[in-house]
Formats: sequence, C-alpha cells, structure tokens
Amino acid sequence: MMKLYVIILSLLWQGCFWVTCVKASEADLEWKEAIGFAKQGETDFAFMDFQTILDDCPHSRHCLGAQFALGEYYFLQNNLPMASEAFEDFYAQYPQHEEALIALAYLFQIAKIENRPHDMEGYRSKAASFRQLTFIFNDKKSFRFSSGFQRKYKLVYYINKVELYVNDKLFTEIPF
Amino acid sequence: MLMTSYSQRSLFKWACALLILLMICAMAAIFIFQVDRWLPRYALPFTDVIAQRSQTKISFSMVHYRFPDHIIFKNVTVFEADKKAPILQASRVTVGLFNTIVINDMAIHFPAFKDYWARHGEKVHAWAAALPQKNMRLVVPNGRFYLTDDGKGDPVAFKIDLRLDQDRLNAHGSWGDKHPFNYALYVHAHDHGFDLDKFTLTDTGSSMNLWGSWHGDTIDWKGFIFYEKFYILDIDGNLKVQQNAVALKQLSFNINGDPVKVRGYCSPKNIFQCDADIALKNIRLHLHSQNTPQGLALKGGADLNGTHVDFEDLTGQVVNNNFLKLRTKRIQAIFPVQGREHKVFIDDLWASIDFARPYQKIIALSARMYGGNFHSRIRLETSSLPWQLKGQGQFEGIDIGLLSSSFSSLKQCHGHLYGNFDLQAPKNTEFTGALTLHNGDFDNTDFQVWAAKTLQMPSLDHLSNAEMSCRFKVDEKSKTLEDLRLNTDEFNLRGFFDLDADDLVSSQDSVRFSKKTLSESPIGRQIIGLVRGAWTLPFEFRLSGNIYRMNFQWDNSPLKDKVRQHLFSFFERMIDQRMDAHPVYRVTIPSESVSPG
Repeated sequence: MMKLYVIILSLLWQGCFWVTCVKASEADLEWKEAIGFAKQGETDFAFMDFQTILDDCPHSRHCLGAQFALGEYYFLQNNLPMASEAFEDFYAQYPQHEEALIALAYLFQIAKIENRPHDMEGYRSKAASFRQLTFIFNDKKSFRFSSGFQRKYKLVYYINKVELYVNDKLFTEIPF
Repeated sequence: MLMTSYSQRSLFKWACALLILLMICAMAAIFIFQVDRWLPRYALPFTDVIAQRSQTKISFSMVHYRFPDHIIFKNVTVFEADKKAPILQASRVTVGLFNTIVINDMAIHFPAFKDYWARHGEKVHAWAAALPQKNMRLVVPNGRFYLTDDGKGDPVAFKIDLRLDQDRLNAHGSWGDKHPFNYALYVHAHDHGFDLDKFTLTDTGSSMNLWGSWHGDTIDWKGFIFYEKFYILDIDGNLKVQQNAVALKQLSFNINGDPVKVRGYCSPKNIFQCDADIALKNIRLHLHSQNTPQGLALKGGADLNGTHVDFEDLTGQVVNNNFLKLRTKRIQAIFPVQGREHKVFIDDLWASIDFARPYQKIIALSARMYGGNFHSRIRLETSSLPWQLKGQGQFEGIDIGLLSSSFSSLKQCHGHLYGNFDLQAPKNTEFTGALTLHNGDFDNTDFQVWAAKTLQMPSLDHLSNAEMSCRFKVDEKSKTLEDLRLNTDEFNLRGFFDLDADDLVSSQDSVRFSKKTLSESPIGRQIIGLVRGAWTLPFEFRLSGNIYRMNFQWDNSPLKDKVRQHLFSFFERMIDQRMDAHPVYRVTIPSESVSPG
C-alpha cells in the first residue's frame, strides 16, 4: 500500500515538470516542422509554426531563429513595414548577437527601398558601432548564419563597411 | 518858368520824403542802439533765472535786437551748474517776440546731457511743466548731435521744426548725414495725457509708423515698421509709468512672421537703468542696462538651442550715423557637445560695425582668448532671414593649458595654438582653416590611453615637444583634419582624420615610431627582431567606425610585407583573433562565431 502511495506521489511530482518537458520537445517539433515547411516552400505554414514557438515556448532555444524568421517572412512577402517592425524587435531583443547585425542590414535595406535617408543614417551608425574590430593581417572577417527559411547568410566585416550576402549574393552593403 | 517851379516843387517833395526817411532811420537807429544798450541788463538776469531753475549755467558773447521783433543771442553755451563740459551750444539763438525761437548751429553733447538729465531731469521736468502754456515755434535748421564726451568725432546732423499750438504739438525734421531719415510727429494733449496721432520715420529704404496714447500712468502704442527686407508688423506695446518703476508691461510684434515678446522695467530715477526679457522664436534674451562712467553699459544672457551666452559691460559708441563701436569686458558661452557641457570665455572683445551699405554689415572683431589674441573680419548679409555670415579670422598664442578649463579632454595638454580660418553660416555652414601647435605636451588623454594600451607602448601616455600642423574643415556633415603632421619625441605621424555628424571616424595615417618607443611593445620587439631597421619604416594604418569604439586596420606597406615574410598564416590568424579579444574592447567577438575570412 505504502509503495502505491510512493508511486502515485512520485508520478504527481514528475507531472509538475511534465509540462515544460512537453513544451521543450514541442518547440523542437514545431521547429522541425517549420523547417520542413520552409524547405517545401510552404512559407505561410512555416511562419505559423515560428509564431507558435514564440507564443508557446518563449524561452526556447529556437526563439532567436523563430523571431528572425518572422522578419524574414514579412520581407519575402514584401510587407516592408511589418518586416521593419519584426527586425526592430529582433534587434532590441538580441543586441549582442551577431544575427542582430543581419537584422540591422535588413532594416538598412528596407529604409533604402522606402527612401528614408534619415533612418538609413541611424542604421549605418548602429552598424558602425556594433563591433570594435582589429585587422592586423587580414582585411576582413566573416560570420555565417542559416535562417529558419533556409537562407544562408554571410556577414563580411571590413574596416569601413559591412556586407551581407544572402545565398552567396550580395544583399546589401553598409558603408561607414 | 512854369517848368522851373514844377521842378523845384518836385525836388522839395523828394527832399522832404528823404528827410523824413532819414529821421525815421535815425530814430530807429537810436531806438535799436538804446535797446541794444539796455538789452544785456535785462537779458542777463533773465537768463540767470532760467539757468537757476534749470540747474544750468548759460553764457553768450552778445545779445542784440533786430528789427522788428527779434532778439538775437550769439555764441550761446549751456553748461550744467558747476560743470565745465557744455550740454548745448549754438552760434545764434533768435528769439521772436511772437514766440518763435530759431537756434542756428545748435550742438547737443549727449554724454553731458545724459549726466545732467540723470541728476536734474525730475526737477527740470517739474519746472517746465509749471511754465505758462503759450503757442510757440522752435526751429533748428542745422543741428549737430555729439555722441562723444570731447565733442570730437563725427556728429549726427539733425533738423527740427516744432510747433506748439494750444493743445497740439507738431514736429518734423530730419536726422543723419549721409542717409538721413525724416520724422514727423503729431500730438494732441488733453487733461490726463495726450494722444499720439502719428509718428513717422522714413528714409529711402525704410519707414516706421506709430500711434498711441498716454493716459494717466499708461502709455499704449501700436504700429508697423519696414526696414530693409524686414517687416515688423502688429506692434502692440503697453508701458506703465509708476513712482518706483517704468514698467514695459508688454511689447509684442512680428518680424517677418516670427513673433517677438518683450517685457522689462526701468528705474524712474535713472531711465538708463533697465531690465528687459526678450523672446524671439527659440531665443531667450535677458538684458540689464546701467549708466557707467564709460557710458551706457549692458549686461545680459541669451539662451539658444541649449547654448547659453552671458556678457557683461557691453558699451557702445556711434562714431557717425553708420558706424558703431562695441566693447564688452567678457563673454561666456556654455554649450553642450555630445552630452558634455563646454564653457568658452572671450575677454575684452572689441567690435566695429559698419552699417553704411544697405543689406550688409561689415564687422571687425578683436579679443583676448585663453592667453592669446583673436582677430576676425565678418560680412553679414541682412537681405533675408536667417542672416548670412561670411568671415575670416586669425588666432595666435592660444594657450592649450588655459583652453582645458573649457574642454576637459585637453586637461593634460600644454602648448600654444596658432591658426587662421574662414567661416560661413548658417546656410552651407563651413569653418575651414589651418592650425599649428608648438611645444605641445599631451599627458594621458583618452586617445593616448587607448593607443598606449592597444599598441602596448606605455610611453605614448606622455608625448612631449609636439609640433603639429594641419588644415581643418568643419561643416554640417563632418569635421576633418587634413594634411595632419604631428612630430613628437616618440613618433612622427602623417595623415587625415574625418569625423562625421554621427560620430563615425574615417582616418588613414602613417606613423613612424622611435626605436625606443617601438621596443616597448612586445609586438614591436618581435617586429624589430624580424625586420632590420623596422623603426625607419612607416607603419600605415586606418581607423574607422564609432569614435568611441574605433576599428583598426594595419594597411599593406613595405613593413607589413617584411613582417609577413617571417610568419606562418596560422600565426597571423591567431594574432588577429587575439586582438579581437583584447581587454580594451568593450565587446569581444566569440571565436566560434567569427572566423577569419
């Protein structure tokens, strides 16, 4: 009888943690599913999964990727105001991450498309202050990132500019 | 026979007429002679009474009568009692028996008059008000107004034709020599004050029209002014004259659509002691004037876009109608730069302003600044707002040590600055020039601390015997130092430095370290070990990015090529990664995120 109580109590105890465990695996599953949709070109469904990760698992390790993917989705949909908002949120949330500079590059490019020179100056200034770099023997440094929508990003830092390549094509250049 | 008697009769008639005429002339001459003989006896006590009541002393060289109704005083001078400086002079004062006074060659000495009025104005005003009211006319056909004490300098010419007819006063005339303006005044007096029906000032390019009233202790006026290309409209003023203060309750107007508001007060005992607050768009100005031995002095302060300017003992002198000299003992400007407050002091500033040309003011400035001197010539175009300024200037012997009280970043710096500049503002604002520094010493400035740590050369903390020269350019977009040459005991540097409006740096430089300085750095020692005579080769580098977090690049150069010949690629990559993680940087890049391209 005693054993039964112990078993029941231990099950209840474990149950307290069950939800987070489920959530953790749920985030992984959602992420996998989203990536699958993205690979199939089903960007709308992928977007829904990325949104779900952010809503249901706000502390998941996939949040950074999901948050970035939202901005990417809006940009691919040519919804520039929403893309701008999403990348601003991303930059505010992950200012110390290298991906934040990719978000800045997006914001710079959107401002350029929308002909907002004042905002371009602001993003240029932020990009110039993003990292302090020293080039002794090499004249450039790079950072690579693969996004939720399976786009391959490459940031190249120079002494006086940052270039962003998407799928090996120059996406934008921020001179400073 | 008949003919002869007719001629004799005719001759007799003419002789009689001539005789009568001669008798009349003789009588008139005797009358005038007698009047002229007796006139001084009456004139002297009469002028003495006037002098006593008006607290003055009146002298004249002679007085005589002119037929039919004029008494003429010659070489009249009016002094303040017990003073030697004349207040008023005239070559001739003609007093008509029918209340007409004509004053020829009248000269008013303003400083003496101002002092006299400050001392006796109240009494004289009371005495003049008690005089019986009579119709009269005062004519000054060729007056001069002296603004200096000694009566030297160019006076301002003026004309007055003033009529007092019962309760009406009309006056008209002119003021000025080269570009005189005409004035007209129509006043209607009544029991408790008067109405100003019209007051106009006009010249070839400007005009002023005012009207208003003085009722009891309240003065109201309205009007408009056109001056060059300025339209000052909707003037509305209200002044209260009280026992303890003359208060400007309100004065508002628009200058080309921009509203201006003024408030202030003056002491009734000394009308030159005034305080005023002026608001024009985003400029707030406070002025305080007072009478000093040097004349009327202004003290004040102004606020404009976060910049505060104070000045003291500002005195002015109009040399002629178109030339103004200003002097101020001290100007202090406080302004923020990148969140830090800076103070700039200018001592003993002299400004000469030439107003002769329409729509252009020519200004010459000289001042003492931080142990040195400053001279400038400025042309101010006033044809439209904002006024456009173009100028040139020189400064010499500016002590950087004293300058550090204003710019804390120069605290550990010593030496003297020399330079010249061209200035243009506010359209296409540009400040260009050349700068030289002699015998400079720099100790532990922020840049030195950064350079000493980054390059691991401790002696860079202290730089001595610095000789620097450069050309500079400051405009709305950037601040640039070109052709920068800095020679010190520790290194020689050549290059340029540009800082844009967003604090982003662009700089390309070449530096040659002394052997001693290069030996201080572990990397320098290795370079000396790798490359023979490394200290003779220039070290080319570039700076970029935010000024507080500058990126650094060692540019390709013969020295770099020689160093690379002795290093493996992996060792180069290792050095690059190690530099990224150097503790002087506030943010380090995780090695797993960044890999050498």
